[in-house]
Amino acid sequence: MAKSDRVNLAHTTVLLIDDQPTSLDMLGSIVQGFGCKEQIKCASAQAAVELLARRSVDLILIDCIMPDMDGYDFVRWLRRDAPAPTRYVPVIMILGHASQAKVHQGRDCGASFIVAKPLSPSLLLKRIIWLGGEDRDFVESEHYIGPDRRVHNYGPPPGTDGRRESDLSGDLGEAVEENMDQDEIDMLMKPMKVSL
Amino acid sequence: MARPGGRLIIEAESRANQALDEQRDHVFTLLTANVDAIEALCATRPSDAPDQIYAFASAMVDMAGYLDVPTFFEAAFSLCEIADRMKNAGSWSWPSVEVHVRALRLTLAAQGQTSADSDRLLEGLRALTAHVPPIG
Repeated sequence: MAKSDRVNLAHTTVLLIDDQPTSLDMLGSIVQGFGCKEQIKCASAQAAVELLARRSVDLILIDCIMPDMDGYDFVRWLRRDAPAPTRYVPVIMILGHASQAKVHQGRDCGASFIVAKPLSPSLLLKRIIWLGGEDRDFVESEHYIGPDRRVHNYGPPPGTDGRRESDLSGDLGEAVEENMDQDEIDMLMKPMKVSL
Repeated sequence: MARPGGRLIIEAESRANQALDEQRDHVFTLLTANVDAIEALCATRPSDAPDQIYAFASAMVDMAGYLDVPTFFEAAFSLCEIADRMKNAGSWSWPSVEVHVRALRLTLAAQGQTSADSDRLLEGLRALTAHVPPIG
């Protein structure tokens, strides 16, 4: 996407969650600069849980590391226990420094993206735009609920059926219709006048 | 998002950067206060200092992570990393923390920007951290 392209967030409500007031204000400044319709700030994940019981939002930006309920716990709650359609809301997790034990939780909690600081407005906007156009499946399995962690879908491994509704087998089956003849193919390629 | 109207991407980024710039002085004051607090802990060395130092350093990473202050960010991140590793290894080294405090002061004075001196400084911090084995 070029810098001369446009982005319209004038209809987007964003929920910002961070226990550090200054970081929350800075994130709010960035989102305000993007021209979002509304931003709601929560100083804890628990406050965000209570808010989402009353109203919906279009995007959630949350700090990974917080006392009590951290960002990972929040996303797990969102994906498993929040009512639809809130449970499908895209979530960008923002990571400062995480102790090693926490890093591995990020991939499996169900976030749409985890972005590490330092984080520029340009990078955050790129991620938001990417989420706006993404068409990843939403996976609901025993051990994972969230957007498909595979950005590219190459289908299931050979010899397996796959776990997603959209998975297609890599094996080619028998043709179900007759092959097109060359005239029909040529007609598809031929420029024709149309009357408007 | 794809509806007509909205803002040019370059304009959205510029407005966001401008809004961040307006907070820059305030954030620098807070970062300085955090470095002061860590320095005070180095002087008194209370028993819960490792947890407090990690918390102050982590807060600095959180704030500096939104500003264009690459050397200060890396020094603060390095302090988080080494404090985390030393806590877990049970081998706390005050001189390592004090070196980080001096590096934080110098990079803060240079507005967090890169220079030949800061490159050497950060190289030293990386070498210090490498001496403490990573967790796991």
